[in-house]
Formats: sequence, C-alpha cells, structure tokens
Amino acid sequence: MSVLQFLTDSRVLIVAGKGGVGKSAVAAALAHTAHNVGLSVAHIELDGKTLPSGMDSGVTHFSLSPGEALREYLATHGLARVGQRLESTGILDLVASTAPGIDDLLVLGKIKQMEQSGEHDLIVVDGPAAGQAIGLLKAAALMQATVSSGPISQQAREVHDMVTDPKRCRVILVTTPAFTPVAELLETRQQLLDDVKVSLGPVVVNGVDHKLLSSTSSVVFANSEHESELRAAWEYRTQRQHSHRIAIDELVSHIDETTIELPRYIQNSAIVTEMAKDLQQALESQQ
Amino acid sequence: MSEMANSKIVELSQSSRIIVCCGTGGVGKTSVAAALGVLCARQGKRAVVVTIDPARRLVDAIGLDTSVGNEPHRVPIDAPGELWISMLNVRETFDTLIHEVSPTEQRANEVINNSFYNNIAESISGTRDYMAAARLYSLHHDAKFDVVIVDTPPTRSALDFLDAPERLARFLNHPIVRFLSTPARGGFRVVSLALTPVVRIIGRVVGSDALESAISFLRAFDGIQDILRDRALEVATLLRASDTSFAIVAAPRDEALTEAAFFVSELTRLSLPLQAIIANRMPPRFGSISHAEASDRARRDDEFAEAYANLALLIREADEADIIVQTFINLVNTQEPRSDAPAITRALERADDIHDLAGISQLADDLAAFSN
Repeated sequence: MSVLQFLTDSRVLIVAGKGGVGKSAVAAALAHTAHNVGLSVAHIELDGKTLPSGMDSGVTHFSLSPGEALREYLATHGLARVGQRLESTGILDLVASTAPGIDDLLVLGKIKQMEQSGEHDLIVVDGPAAGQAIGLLKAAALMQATVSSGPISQQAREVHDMVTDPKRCRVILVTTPAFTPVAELLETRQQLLDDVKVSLGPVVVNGVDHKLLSSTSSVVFANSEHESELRAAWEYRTQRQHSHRIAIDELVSHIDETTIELPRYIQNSAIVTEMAKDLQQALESQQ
Repeated sequence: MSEMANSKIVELSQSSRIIVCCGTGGVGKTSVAAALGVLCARQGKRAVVVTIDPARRLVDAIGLDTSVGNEPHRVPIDAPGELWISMLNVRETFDTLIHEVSPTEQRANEVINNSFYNNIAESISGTRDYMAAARLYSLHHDAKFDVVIVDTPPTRSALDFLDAPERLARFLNHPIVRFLSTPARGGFRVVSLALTPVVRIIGRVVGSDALESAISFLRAFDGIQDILRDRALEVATLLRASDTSFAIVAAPRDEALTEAAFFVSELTRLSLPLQAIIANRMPPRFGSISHAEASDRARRDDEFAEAYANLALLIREADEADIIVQTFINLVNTQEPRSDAPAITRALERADDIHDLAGISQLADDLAAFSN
C-alpha cells in the first residue's frame, strides 16, 4: 500500500492507547510522515500535555479540551454574561452533569468542523488514554439518547456519522509488547468495535526490542574477562525479546487488523523524526 | 532486613495512614502501589490498596483471577501484616453515601431513582473524583485497616480528586443550585424558575427533559446536600493531615518525567508535600564496566564482540535512565527546596512484565533496598 493512500483513506485518524505506550509520539510521527509525503496536516492534542519534541514545524498544531469546548459553547449560546465565571459558579458542572458527554461531544464537533472545512488533508488526533477514548467516542451515541432535539442533538448525529464512517475516521490503537498493555488494548478494541462501531487502522506495537541477536549457543562468554556480566546481560536481553514476542503473538492471535512494530528508541533523541521514518517504511511494506 | 529498617521508604510505610501514588500512565504505578502495600504489611500493618482507575489493572498486576469491587479483597502474603485490595465502584459508593446521609429511606430512593442522578453517578468526570475521595474517607475510618494506599488514574486530571470535595462543596453552595434545590413554596417557584434566563438557556442546551430531571434531583437532594458538603470538607482536611503521604511514580522516559514534573507542580499548587519519588522500570546494570569500555571491546571483533555489543547496549540504556532520573530529582529539589528531603528509591525493570504476587514482592524488595 502506498503511504499516501493509507494516510488519505480517511481524513481523521484518532490515535488511542493506554498511557505510557508512546501514543503521543506515534500521533506526532504519523503527522510528521503525512507532512513528509506532501499532505497538509493538523495535529490535535486533547489532554493538555506538552508536545513531543521534534514535531515538524510544517504541521499545524491545535489543543482542544472538553472543559474549554463546553465553556466556549455556553458563552456563545447565551451565557456570555456569566462567561468567565461559568466554572467558579458551578454552571459548567451543572450542565456537564445534566448532559454527561456534552463536553466530549463538543470536542468531536470541533474536529468534525475541521474535517468538513477541508482545510487539511489529514487530521491526526492524539486522543486521551484508552479508557477515556471510549467515553469520548461514545459521547455522540450517548447524547443522541439523552437529548432528542435542538442543536446538541443535531451535533450528536453529525458527529456519530463521522466516527462510524470508515471513509472519514479511523482509530489507530497503540500498545507496547507487554502483558498488561496488550490485555487492555484488546479490551478497548472490543468496546470500540461493539459499542462505538468505529473502524480500526493497523495496531501499532511500540518499543519492540528488535535487533536480532544470534542464537545463544553461538555466543561465547566463557573465559572472557567479564564472563558473568556478559552472560547476565545476554540472558536478560534474550528473555526480554522472548517476552516481547509472546505479547505480540498474543495480540496478533486476537485481532484482524495488521500490526506495525516500532523499535525502542533512545530517549533524549529526535524520537518523532526517527519514528516517522520507521513508520513510513512499515506502511510501505504493508499490503 | 534489619539494616534497611531505617530507609526512608520503609519509614514512610510505617508512619503513613494514607499514601497517594501519582504518576502518568505506563510507569507501573499500580504495581508500585501494590508493592507499597506489601512493604506496609511487612511492617505489620493492615494495608488496603485502592485503585480509582476503571481498568482491571490492579487485579491483573497481582495476577488474581477473581473480580474485585468496592468490597476489599484479602490477598494472601507472607508478612506479619495484611494486604487487601479494592477497586472503586463509583455507582456503589455513591448509592452507599446517599443512604448514609439521607434522613429517610424513602428520600434516599427518590434520589437514587432520579435520571439526573443516574447521569452523574455514571459520568466519568467530577463524580468519580468525589467518590474516590469518599471511598478513601470510609476506608480510612474502617477499623480493619491501618493504612490506605491510593492508586490514582493515569491522567493529568488524576489529582482532581484531591480538590473534588471542595469543588462539590462550592457547587452545592452556589446560589443557582441552592435556588433550584429549594422546594417551591406556594407554587411560585416553578413559574419564577422557568423565567430565570440562566435556567432557560441551560434548558435549551441540554434539553428540557434533562433539565427537569436535574431540578427534581436537586429538590430531592435538599437537606442531604448540607451533610454531603460537611463530609466533603472532612475529606479535604483528611487529605491534608500530616500522616497522609504523596508519592510520585516515574519511569525513565523523557515524556514520563515531564508528566511527573507536572504532578510535582500540582502538589505544590495544592500545598501538599511530596514525600517520595519512586523511579520505576529502571534498566538493570550488569557489573561496573563502562559503556565506553564495553563498546571498545565490541569493536575488537574477537569471539566476544557480540556479547560485548549487547552489554554495551544495555549499559547505555541504564546510563540514559540514570541521567533522566537525576535531572528530575534536581528539578524537584530546585522547584521545592525543603529541609526534610523526600524518600527517593527505585525499582528495576524486569525482562518480563510483572503480573503476579511474586513480581510485586520483588518490586517491594527493590523499593526497600534502593531507598535513601
């Protein structure tokens, strides 16, 4: 598959995964890759986090927050007078509790607006952590059930149409090659498919200890000056690679999507740039 | 273990009645919280670890097959104390709380059956935070336990539960909420209520059915809210007690430490002292040979070259991790200079992911052994 084709299959790509699996780096690298192949890219971040270093300056960055979206909506819908005080007066809480998911819906509404405007070829969303991602994506269905008419209900319908249309929106799940993150990814994936009915892109396995070592038998430690250190290090590495392989096998046996494996990167380096390169290569070699 | 008896982390596990573990996702916070529970149990304490994250992480980390909810579940360990685990069930906690503070059973049911209540009891935002605080409060007052260890959710908003009680108190005190929740006298209220511009606008946004349900909820809530507000303020006081400790769990990744620094500033903002820094998932070291020497030997292209190349790679991982963690500790020291330095300790990354009690025990060994 050409990278360009993959990246333009839908205009919105939502990257989701348990915290610490490198979800933000993957989202940034995807944006970077898209920029490299000549697309105009928007990168949207939802958790108020700092940007991964090494983001390409050609990528337009936006930060959206549910609270902010709700505040803005209320201010532009007649509550401007209470405006600044929406939060301190508790009105924000009252509205958010009366219609749970309204803030998430408004965030998706903004993304939908960007998608419709066509200003960018690709919108990469660095989503919230896995659990919240489900809440976010389910918000549209939830709001359709609670609010039956009016602008919010309309908004919910339109957002729902977007997130369930594979030609408009896909979700990329990210994990590391370890037991717990893989188990959580499988759980999230099932919920996304059953409850939200989104379509999924390839699953990214990040931080795989790739570099092949020759088989233990051919490696010589005996009588070296650092025999015990060399042996312990070798055993550690072999065991780590083995446990990564087991986790990946477990993942692959439970999903239909293809997987993309990314290596461990050196911290403090230009992770995003390197990852973008690897990602591009992996996408090119996909069917 | 006697020579470690004075390490700061062990001291902390002896003196704390509440330990709150903060940190971003993927740093092994849940495992560390469970390991702190093991440390407390080794000190003869009856410890309960409560996770306020909806994921099954805690049960998975310990390798239990059973499902665990609000009701604490005892984990058999070889220690003089006890280890229990509990997972926050927001709905159950809220229901229990309403029953506790309602003047009559009937009033409690009125509240619980209201659809607005169903919304807020299920919604993930503020309610979860407040219920986490409420759960902490009741576990703290449960005579079965000496210490409560809290595993917070892996988001930036994790610490919201710390000021959730105050936020709820503020919300319940707000004139509009007070106005909405005071029962009508002589039929005036309903009319004047609908005429309130703010209420009208909210109704337009959320739909009139939802708003009506909210109003009848707040009505049913009348009187209950004062008790709830007092309770909220008690929880707030508890979180600031001297035997409540805050620990930051971090892993040696650039972005994990940026997040850890964020939590440090949050604690400072909330005037909560940081008592422990736990660097988890630290790559192990193999001997004292330097990276330079190992790479040099790898280049010699003799029979040991490959083994040295592997060693060099692992040493570089360990060196990098040390630098990142040290940078973080320096940052904490400059950001929050104090006379009583926090406990600083670490735990090693295993070649396997930890998901059984033996792994948690090993983690507890590390925490005790590496602490200052």
